[in-house]
Amino acid sequence: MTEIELQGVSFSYQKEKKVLDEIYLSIAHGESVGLIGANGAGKSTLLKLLVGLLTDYEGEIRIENQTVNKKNIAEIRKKAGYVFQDSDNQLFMSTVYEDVAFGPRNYGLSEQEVEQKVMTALQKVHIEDLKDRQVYRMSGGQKKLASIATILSMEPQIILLDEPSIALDPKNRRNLIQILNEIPETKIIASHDLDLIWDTCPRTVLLADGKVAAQGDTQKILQNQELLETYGLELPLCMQRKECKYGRA
Amino acid sequence: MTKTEQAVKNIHITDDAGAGKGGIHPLSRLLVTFFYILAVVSYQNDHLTGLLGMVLYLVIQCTWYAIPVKVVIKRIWPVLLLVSMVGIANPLLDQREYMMVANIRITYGMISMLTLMLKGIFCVMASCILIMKTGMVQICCALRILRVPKELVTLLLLMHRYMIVLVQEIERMQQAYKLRAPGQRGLHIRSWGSFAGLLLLRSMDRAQEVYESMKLRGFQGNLQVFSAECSKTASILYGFIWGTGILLFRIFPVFPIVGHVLAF
Repeated sequence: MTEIELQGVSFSYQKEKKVLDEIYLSIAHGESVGLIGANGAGKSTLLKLLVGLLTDYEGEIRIENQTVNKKNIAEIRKKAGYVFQDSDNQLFMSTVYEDVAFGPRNYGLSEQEVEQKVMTALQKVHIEDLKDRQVYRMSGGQKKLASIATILSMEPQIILLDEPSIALDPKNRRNLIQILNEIPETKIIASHDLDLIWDTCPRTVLLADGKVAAQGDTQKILQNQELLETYGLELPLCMQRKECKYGRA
Repeated sequence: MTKTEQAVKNIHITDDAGAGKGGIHPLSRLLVTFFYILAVVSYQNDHLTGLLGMVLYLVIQCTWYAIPVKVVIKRIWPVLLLVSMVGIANPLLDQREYMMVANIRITYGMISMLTLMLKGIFCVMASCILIMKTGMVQICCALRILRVPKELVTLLLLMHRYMIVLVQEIERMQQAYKLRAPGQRGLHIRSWGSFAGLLLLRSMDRAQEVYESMKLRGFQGNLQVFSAECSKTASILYGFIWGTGILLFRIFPVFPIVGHVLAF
């Protein structure tokens, strides 16, 4: 079943240059899709369009057969959660518990329900022991996991992640990959970290100059050196070292 | 730790200081502080001896919560400096003689200046102790119980949050500046304009992202706050004992009474 559908979506911040130009894309329920592309390719813009942070676009975006527009923004945001690139901007309450509870509380749930959702979300990212920790005392890796928990507590069907592995050390990055693979919801992961995409997304969409330059099987796309180099990218590090997880290098 | 890092840490500590500790309800603490401030400002400008007795509240609070007075003063010294300026012109405006001490003429102006300064210092210190030991979130919770409009409480909480954003941006910019201006003390005057402008733009960008993050999680203008678990009996007792104490101190000036007793 198609969960996300983009039909000829175009968007520009300034009239002269389109950041996204006639994007056609379908993502099925439960799929995990990697969104790759050079700087300025339009990855973050596309994610922001999907959650209605940007609404003045051309074409049509449908999430679960519901068009994304200003009128139904609240319903769309219940369905799709967005994890920001910088966790410091995502976490604004004083403790992890308060931050993860922020979303459910805004939807008018009772404190008992809120607590249950918070604990479930924290368990999913394995940081239930950090629930009372003050956010400013946390490491970058812990903050990233807490950011994901803030979205999971709202139980969205779709999770959008913008550069989730940025500024993470190798151990935290591995931990994040494991957690992302455990989350069953539909995921779109925008990242320059092609190794992360290789490990978490069976399908990849390559954006270049606001257009879909290629899409399909992740391993096929990420092994295509010529394609990647044409659009300002390089082979994943694991491919360069020829020791990929799937051993297909 | 740099000064700005320390500032961010201090803001975070005051963020939720009273949460999860149990004990006295923030409303009780807020009302006691409010009552204390009312009592302090109600002294007349020449009633210095009576006002001095009110220092006991601050001493007891600092001792009880184990807050070194030095820490309180360090946190609020810029405000104290400003408050101390209140009434600085009084000695010039009111030169009537109040008393003579060892051939030194003490005027009403001097007394009123001192009284005004102390009033300001006491009030600011009492507020500071309240924030340090109760936390902004809990204070806002108490304000909501007092039916202060939720928009106002949300504004207060958001201001507190965005202060962190602003201070963090200052820190980043300062570090970037210092690393490229070795040996230079502070910010060169030529850079003040661009520094301030850039700081504004960067803070606005970050604040926008924080706001977007809130909107994406269903925020519709009401930041919900919940009070930490408290003991009802302890809260009532706290309010009653302090309320009575402050009232007694206000009615009966402690220091003159003690002075009279000792003289007798």
